[in-house]
Amino acid sequence: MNQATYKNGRALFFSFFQRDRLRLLWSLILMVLSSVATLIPAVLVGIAIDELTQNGFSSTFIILSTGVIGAGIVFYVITFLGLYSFMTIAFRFERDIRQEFFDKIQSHSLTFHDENNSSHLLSMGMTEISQMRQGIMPGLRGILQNLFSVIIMIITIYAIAGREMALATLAGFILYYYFALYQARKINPIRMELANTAGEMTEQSQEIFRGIEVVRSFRGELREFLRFKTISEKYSRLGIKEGQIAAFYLPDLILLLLTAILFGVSLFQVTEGTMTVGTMIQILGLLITLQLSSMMLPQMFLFLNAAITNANRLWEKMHWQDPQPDKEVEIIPQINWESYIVFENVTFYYTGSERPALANISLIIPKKSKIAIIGGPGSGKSTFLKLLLQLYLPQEGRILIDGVDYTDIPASEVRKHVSRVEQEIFLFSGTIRENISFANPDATEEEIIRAATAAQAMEFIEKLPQGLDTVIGERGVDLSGGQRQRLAIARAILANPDILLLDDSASALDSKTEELLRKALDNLSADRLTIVVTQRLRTLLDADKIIIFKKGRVLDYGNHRELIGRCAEYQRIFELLPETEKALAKGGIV
Amino acid sequence: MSRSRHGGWLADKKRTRSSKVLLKIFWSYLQPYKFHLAFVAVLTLVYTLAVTYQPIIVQNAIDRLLGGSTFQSLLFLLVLYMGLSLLSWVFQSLITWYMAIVQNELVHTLRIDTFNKLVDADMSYHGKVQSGNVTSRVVNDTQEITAGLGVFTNSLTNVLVAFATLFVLFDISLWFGLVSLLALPTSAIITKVISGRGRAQMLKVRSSLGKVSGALAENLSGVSIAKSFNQEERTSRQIRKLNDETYGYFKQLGTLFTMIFPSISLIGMIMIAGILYIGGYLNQQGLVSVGSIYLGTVMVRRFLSPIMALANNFTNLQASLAALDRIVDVLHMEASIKALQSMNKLVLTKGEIVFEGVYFKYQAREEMNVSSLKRRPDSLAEEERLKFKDLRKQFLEEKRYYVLENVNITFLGGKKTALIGHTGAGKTTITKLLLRFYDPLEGRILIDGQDLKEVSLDSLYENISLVTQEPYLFAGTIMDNIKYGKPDASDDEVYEICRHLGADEFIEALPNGFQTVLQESGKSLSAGQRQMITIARTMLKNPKILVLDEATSRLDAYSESLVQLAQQKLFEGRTTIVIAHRLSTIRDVDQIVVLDKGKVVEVGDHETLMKLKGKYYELYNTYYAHQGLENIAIAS
Repeated sequence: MNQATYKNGRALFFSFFQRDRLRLLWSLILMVLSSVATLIPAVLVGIAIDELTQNGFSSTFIILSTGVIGAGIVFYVITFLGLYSFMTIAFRFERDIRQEFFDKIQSHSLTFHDENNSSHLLSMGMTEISQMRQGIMPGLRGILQNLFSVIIMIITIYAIAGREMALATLAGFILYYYFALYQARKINPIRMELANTAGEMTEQSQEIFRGIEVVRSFRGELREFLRFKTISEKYSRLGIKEGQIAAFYLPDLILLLLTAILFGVSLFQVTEGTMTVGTMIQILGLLITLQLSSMMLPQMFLFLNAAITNANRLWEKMHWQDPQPDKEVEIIPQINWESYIVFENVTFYYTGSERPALANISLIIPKKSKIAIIGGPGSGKSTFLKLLLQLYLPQEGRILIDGVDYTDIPASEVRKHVSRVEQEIFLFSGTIRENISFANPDATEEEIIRAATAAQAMEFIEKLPQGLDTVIGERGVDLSGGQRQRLAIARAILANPDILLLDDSASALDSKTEELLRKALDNLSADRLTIVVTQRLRTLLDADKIIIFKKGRVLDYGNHRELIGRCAEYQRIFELLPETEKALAKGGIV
Repeated sequence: MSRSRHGGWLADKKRTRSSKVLLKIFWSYLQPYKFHLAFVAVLTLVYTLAVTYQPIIVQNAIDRLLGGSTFQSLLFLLVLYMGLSLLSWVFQSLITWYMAIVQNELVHTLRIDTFNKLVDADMSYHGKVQSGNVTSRVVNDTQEITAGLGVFTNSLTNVLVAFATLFVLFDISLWFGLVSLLALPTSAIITKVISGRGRAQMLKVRSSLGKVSGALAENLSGVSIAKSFNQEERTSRQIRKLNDETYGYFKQLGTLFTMIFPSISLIGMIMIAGILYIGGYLNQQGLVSVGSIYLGTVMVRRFLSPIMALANNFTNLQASLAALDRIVDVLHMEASIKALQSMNKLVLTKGEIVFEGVYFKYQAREEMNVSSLKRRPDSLAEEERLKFKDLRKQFLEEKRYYVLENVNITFLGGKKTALIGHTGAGKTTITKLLLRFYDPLEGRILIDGQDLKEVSLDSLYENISLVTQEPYLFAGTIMDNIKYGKPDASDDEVYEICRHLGADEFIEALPNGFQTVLQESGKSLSAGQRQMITIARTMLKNPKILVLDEATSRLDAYSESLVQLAQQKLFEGRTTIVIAHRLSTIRDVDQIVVLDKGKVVEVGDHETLMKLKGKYYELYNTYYAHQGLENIAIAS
């Protein structure tokens, strides 16, 4: 994976120049030639007119006129080649930055993903990177082309009209660029604010309409209207401000006045006899050509500015500093993953939180046992599982497996041996086969079927029209909660972990599905350590040990018999389990 | 005008109204800006004259120079030239200035009107149209319309410039005029290529980019899965593949544009050469002056760009009209659920709710179209009106499509009633009718004898609250979310409620406790935690009638029991309607209503219904009984 690093956002943006230097050089040379070719017709027209005034409709005049077409063709070929190679580099830049961005973001720990809104990251990865490319093409390209044209024009004027005229033009263009940059700097923050406000407005509107039932039944309409009106007004005000700043665009005036002044000086020199009419026409022709090519310049500056701002934002996300970076491990320690696990005074805080999500956890998990976890929302159940998967590292205390500290084991190594079936099942859009074989894309048909069968998923997969190749997700078949869960279990079985974590804390399933799930779990927990967050009676009864979490602490740890005897909290929870009453009615459990 | 947000020749151009009708509607929105626009029109006219006249001054000067004039005699031309430069700049700036005001104020007005219409639209509309599309009406379409106004004034300038330029060229010589007309077929061909092959390739780019975006979105939200299974390399490869594909399409599209763009300049050069040939020849005949040849070369180039722009403007205007059409759809929408402030207030005494012969059916797509025709009698021919009547009759006859069919229920005042039935039996629909998200097609719903249709919505929602299975939270702090239905509640009230519910534990464990800002509708919370917050929100509002639609389905048993305790304490003696899957919830209720395929099949309490051995007994055994427990009981 490409994990390039950059010093800052600017470096990220200007890395463009280092990506394909040879091609870039070639396209820059072509751009210079293209600038020359753009100006040739204006020169030729002037010479032709001089020829016409002196020698009439001569063959030289006809050749000069034809030269304009020739110059046009040369211009076409050169410009095409130049644009083509520049475009190629620019689109490659967009592609590569997008890839680098994704790889980098993906490699960040979950702490990063907790802090960052995934839809914002998405819009960075798509829109903002596209805008970065726009900053290169047309932005940077337009500016460079314009600069080349200005320089070549000044040289040409120097050649045909002498030093004074060339200096005047130079002065004019220095002013032109100065004010153009000044203007861009002034308008850029408003542009950014406009873009942000537009984003906010969209988000707000989306939120209101997605939650329209809630808005209505809580009579939130007026409040939402006022909120929306405020932002809509803000957007409109910003738009007016932007338009008004853009209105009196000084660089345009400078260019117009420069043309007028050069026109005046030329008039004077022609009457003095120091300049021909043709030369005057050349000068005016050059300026008009330049006026045309400068028309888009303010837009180009905005593109460039936006691109650099985006690059800075992107860079910040890409170069996020992990508060708990992975230790560089040189030798992967030899670990018997079937060994027991020890938690030693483990304390963990989520970033920004003052209260620990897990506080001072000390326990020993026997090897190949079945562990059940129970506790209320926010009690630390899920966090406990996440630590075991090394999605986070504890700030205090140690987790040891086979006597080796977790921090000495690379995350990828941990995840080779530990798998999790999460509470809210995430399946990728694609076929069922792809989802089951996610952990091992090379799995054979037989292995996939075996996993699906063990997870009790084959039963419903077979009924689907395309079987394992049925597409699920947004554009595919909708699966029920129980079916999704069984697919996730199949996925975990195929990964064949030594330690399996399962978050099964909230599920309202009918009894048949539950039966199937239980069978799947039994298959899964055979011959490996399984840790299950649950509220199913059967799982609690079957467990070798039950951990009760409360407010991030372990309230008690033992098997069902022990806990029912000594732990009041457990007794209370147990009584509340939906199955309990039924089971009690059938003759009691204890 | 620089900030046009046009989809251009890619945008959706489908529409149902004629341009005339649409422009008439649009004109009504432009009324407040009549004078601004008139002023802009005048400015545009003067601006066009100024920029057209400038090259004529140069031509004049050239001819005088060749005739041997002195500098002093040319001075006035120079002054005039400078004056016109200044004038054109000032006028151009003023146009931008005023258009910025008109466009931005206009878009604000349109946005607010559209927003209001949509907030008040029937729930059937929101049930049918995705929130993303609704937002697109409010944000994108309104912007597109005003961008259209900019394009319109831009086109106006272009047309004026094109005509003025053409006039000057024909004025010099018929042949000059004819050469410049070369611009027309050129622009036609280029437009054709762009809207044909260019469009096709752009669509490919778009769909390919869409795939990248989809994969990126999925892999960003599923990042913990990729990490858990050590599959980061794989997702990276997936993105790379799509990314490469997109690059390929971009390159194709870019090549096309790279070929087109310089060709415009090439055509310009050919036209200039043409002017030179003809001009040189005519000059020899003494028919045109050297100055006029210069003028011809300038004008012929200037003619090309507005013509090119106009072709593009035309497609953009079409897109704006299509957007306007969609907005007019919204603006002309008439909500069928009328709830005027002037209506009677709902007065609760016992809190008894009666469903009397209620029929209901969700409107399918076709029927929506028919009824949207109904909303626009102006555009509805008598024939269509009859067709609509027929449809309605036919659909009233087809009773098997009803979601609710002749439902008669009395929800006892101050008591708890449970609704039971398979998925699709109509349980949720009953709650939606009760909140008047929809009106029944036939029959009445009465609360303490008052028809729901005759009381104001405000008073209805003051008394009744719904907690649904899908917890919906707003961006904002948890505190704000809980206070959503009662903004003036004190923080202490919120703490109190949360303590009762047992929600304080996890909220306080969050980074900023109650002040934690929820992102992405609370993605960082578990479904159960989100549900807790919605329950707290409703409890704080303290309604007299409570409707719980699987409101605790995502909670663990322990939390659920806490919620139930809190509910018993806080809602003692209030009318409560529950849809629930847990036995413990149902056994406690005063009355159970069993629904099957939209009909009420059994009513009674648990014991009575079990004895019946009917639908309830069957449901009970499927959903609430747990096979295999007997074995455990014996084994342990």
